[in-house]
Amino acid sequence: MLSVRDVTVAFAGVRALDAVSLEARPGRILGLIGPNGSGKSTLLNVVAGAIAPDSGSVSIEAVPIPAGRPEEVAARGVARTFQIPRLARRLTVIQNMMVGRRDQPGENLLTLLFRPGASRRSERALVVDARAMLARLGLIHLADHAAGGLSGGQQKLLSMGMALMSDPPVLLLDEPAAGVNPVLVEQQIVFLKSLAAEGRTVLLIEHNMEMIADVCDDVVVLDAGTVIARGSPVDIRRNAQVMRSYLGETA
Amino acid sequence: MQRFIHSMVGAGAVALAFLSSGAQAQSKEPIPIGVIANLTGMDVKTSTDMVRGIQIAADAVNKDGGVDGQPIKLIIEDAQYKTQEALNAATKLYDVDKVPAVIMFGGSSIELAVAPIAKQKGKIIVNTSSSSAKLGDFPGTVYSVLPLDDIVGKALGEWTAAQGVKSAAFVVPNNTFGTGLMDAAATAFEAKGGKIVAKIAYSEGQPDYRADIQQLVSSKPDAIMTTGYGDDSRTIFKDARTLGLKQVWYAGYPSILTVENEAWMNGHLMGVDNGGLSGDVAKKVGADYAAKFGKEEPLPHVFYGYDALMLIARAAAAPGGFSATTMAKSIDGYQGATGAIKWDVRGQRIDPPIDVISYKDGKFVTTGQQ
Amino acid sequence: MLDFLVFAVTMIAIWSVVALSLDLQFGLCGLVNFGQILPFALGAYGPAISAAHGGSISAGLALGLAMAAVGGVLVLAPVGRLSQDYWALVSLGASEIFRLLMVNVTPIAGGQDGTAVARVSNPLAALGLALGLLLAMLLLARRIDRSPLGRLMRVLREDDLLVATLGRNPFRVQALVTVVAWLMAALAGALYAHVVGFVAPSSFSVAETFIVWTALILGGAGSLLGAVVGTAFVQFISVSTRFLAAWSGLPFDLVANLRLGIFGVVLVLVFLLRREGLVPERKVRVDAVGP
Repeated sequence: MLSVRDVTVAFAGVRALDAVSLEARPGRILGLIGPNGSGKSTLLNVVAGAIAPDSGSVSIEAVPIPAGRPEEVAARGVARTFQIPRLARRLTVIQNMMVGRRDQPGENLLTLLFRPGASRRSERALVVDARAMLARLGLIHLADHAAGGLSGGQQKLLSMGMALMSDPPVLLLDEPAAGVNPVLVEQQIVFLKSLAAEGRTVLLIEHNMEMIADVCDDVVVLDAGTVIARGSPVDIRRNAQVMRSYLGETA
Repeated sequence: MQRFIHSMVGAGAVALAFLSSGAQAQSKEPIPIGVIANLTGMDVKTSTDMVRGIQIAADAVNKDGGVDGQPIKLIIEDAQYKTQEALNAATKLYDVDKVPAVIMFGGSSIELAVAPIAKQKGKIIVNTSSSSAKLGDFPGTVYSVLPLDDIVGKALGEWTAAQGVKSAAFVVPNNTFGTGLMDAAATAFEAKGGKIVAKIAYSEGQPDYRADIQQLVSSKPDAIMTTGYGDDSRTIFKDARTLGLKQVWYAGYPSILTVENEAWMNGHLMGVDNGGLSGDVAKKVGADYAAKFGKEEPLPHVFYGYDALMLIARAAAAPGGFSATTMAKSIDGYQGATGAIKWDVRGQRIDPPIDVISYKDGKFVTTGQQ
Repeated sequence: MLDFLVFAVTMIAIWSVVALSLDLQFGLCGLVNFGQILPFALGAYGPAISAAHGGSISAGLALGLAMAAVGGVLVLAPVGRLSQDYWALVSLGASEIFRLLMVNVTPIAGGQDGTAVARVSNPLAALGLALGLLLAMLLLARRIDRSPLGRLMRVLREDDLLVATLGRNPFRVQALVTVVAWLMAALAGALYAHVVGFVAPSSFSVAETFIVWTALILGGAGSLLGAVVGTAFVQFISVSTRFLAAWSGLPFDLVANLRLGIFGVVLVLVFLLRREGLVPERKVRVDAVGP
């Protein structure tokens, strides 16, 4: 279980997050919504270890994460995507997918030089898994394309796949549906549901209310750094305060 | 098409006739002699003057019909003051241009790297500017026109002490020429009981040196020992005068300094110089230099370069042609621009004549020998 | 003529290893090092310091390698997670500090005038050693290049936050690349010392770093063969301009400066006309059965 307790982050006197708390459980998808500038991305960065909060803590299975050290948090089993996908654009799609896996023996120089067999075996297995993931995401036909040449939606799918390659118990997704065509969004929804079915903990930032309604078990609403509402998607839609602060259009 | 071929053949024949007639007028192959100097990088001014001295000598030899009718051809390479480039230059000169000898400007880091290669190939290096003792480790390969251990510097130190000077400061340019002389003079001066108050090596090409020599105002040495040349020496004198420094200046190679204020300097500048540089040969070389290169005062390196080439030409003209043996004998009876040259068994120069010089009434005059 | 060519090729091989070491850092990993002459100099000064103080050849070699490994970490450490611009400047400063130290502190290794070092007297033996070193380093670089480590380095080149997000410590990868690259350059430096037979500070200035950079960019950063091709090209231009200078018949001081000028102009022209380098980076094939 992912638990955020009283996290406060201030930038130059402005409180981006003010004593925010939430909990995300395995097998469930938690949606994080709110107007632009409400602190959603900041919160995600804190959970991912990229930002150290000024006070409060984040714990996984009751063990606090090392704040400000994203690689150590990732090693604890937290994988994330970015609003604008971060990929190695000059590498191919399958090479990107393969980098997603941690603890590769071939990344250790000594193993590489003195136990080449171990490295080769691991690579072979990794290629199989990477292709399987690409197939699952409908990207297998692009395996040898440069990642930078993919469409925005395809890049988002790829980064989700990369995040999954480390078999993470916790997934943080930053606006996966933004700028993506509706067909691909449907694909993403199916994908996300399967993640929850696999028992993973998923925290999802989104503006796309269709996706939130379809996929999330729980929703937390942020506004100006504080939580203004929690509940199921249905509850949230009915919440007048939420409507006022954020949802200008008809829900 | 036919006409084209005919005209080409005709042109070819004419060209061939031209070339062969030219070849006939030149009866003998030129003798290639290599020169390695720092034409870019550090120590460029001194290198350039050395090469000019070599050119003056080569022109003089060729004007007189060359060596048994063979003209001397100089092949000049830039070492860029870098060891690897000097090696590139040396291998090119020895292997491709097939020169029997190379005249080299230093520093010792360059000459000592080339020396083993010359030795391996049985070739010769004539050293004109480095005074490192290690050059004496290559007898039969390296011949120095410059005295080792900077005898002028040593003479300066001893002579200054002999004038009754008890404490002195050094002001020299920060290059191998200046610091080399300073080190030799300092050692000799201290050996005679003198005390050194400061060792100032200034960066060349600056517009003002007051910051460098300011300390002499408070440390008050009996005298200032120096060497240098050109605009920088002029600036040093001007700054010293402005600061009110009243010491007498004792210089190595005083005649190449540029005096800034004749009245102020009168009787305040004296020193020692290589004796040969006031001889007839040196005067003629100086005149050639002025004619070819304008009014610049020749640095001592001009004369070392001149003598280096002359000795090579003498060795080449000797019976048996150019070799280590004829090279060793080339000094016999040779009166050079740097005086009579004597070599020890290692081919290194010893006992050069030393002149004492004084600046009086706007002129440098030789007042004696050391 | 033969000795001349043998020496030229020996130097090309040695400097190619330095270019290769820079390629590992920059071409593969995106690290901008403006002081790559420093590990080369450390590798050369190991033998020099040993010779100046009566030590053996192997002691000199060990000293050179040790200085390079430690030096690489020392220079990288203060920069840590700071941006690339800082590391470029720190490495530049470090190389100059070392050179000035060697110039001014004469008891270490002869100061400005340098120190003699045991020389490989047989030019063909020197050539053999140089080519052997180049081959070994090419094989090592290729092994890394085509491995998962090489792939990770390429990701690091583009996005270090992504590397951290994927659970690897970007600084540790940078440190590893730096140490390997610096050891490589140090080996080249030690061989250089024994081939030339003399070590002096004037051989290790900032200009040398930038000639290696030029060779790398011209040859094609990111391509291993490019490092060799670029180095050969740069050395070729440098050597051939000597011949041109002699043929031109111009006054010697003018022609020396012109030669360096032409050298620079040719390099700039080649860069403008072929930006990707003479040998462009090819699509990487990783070890295992490629997809």
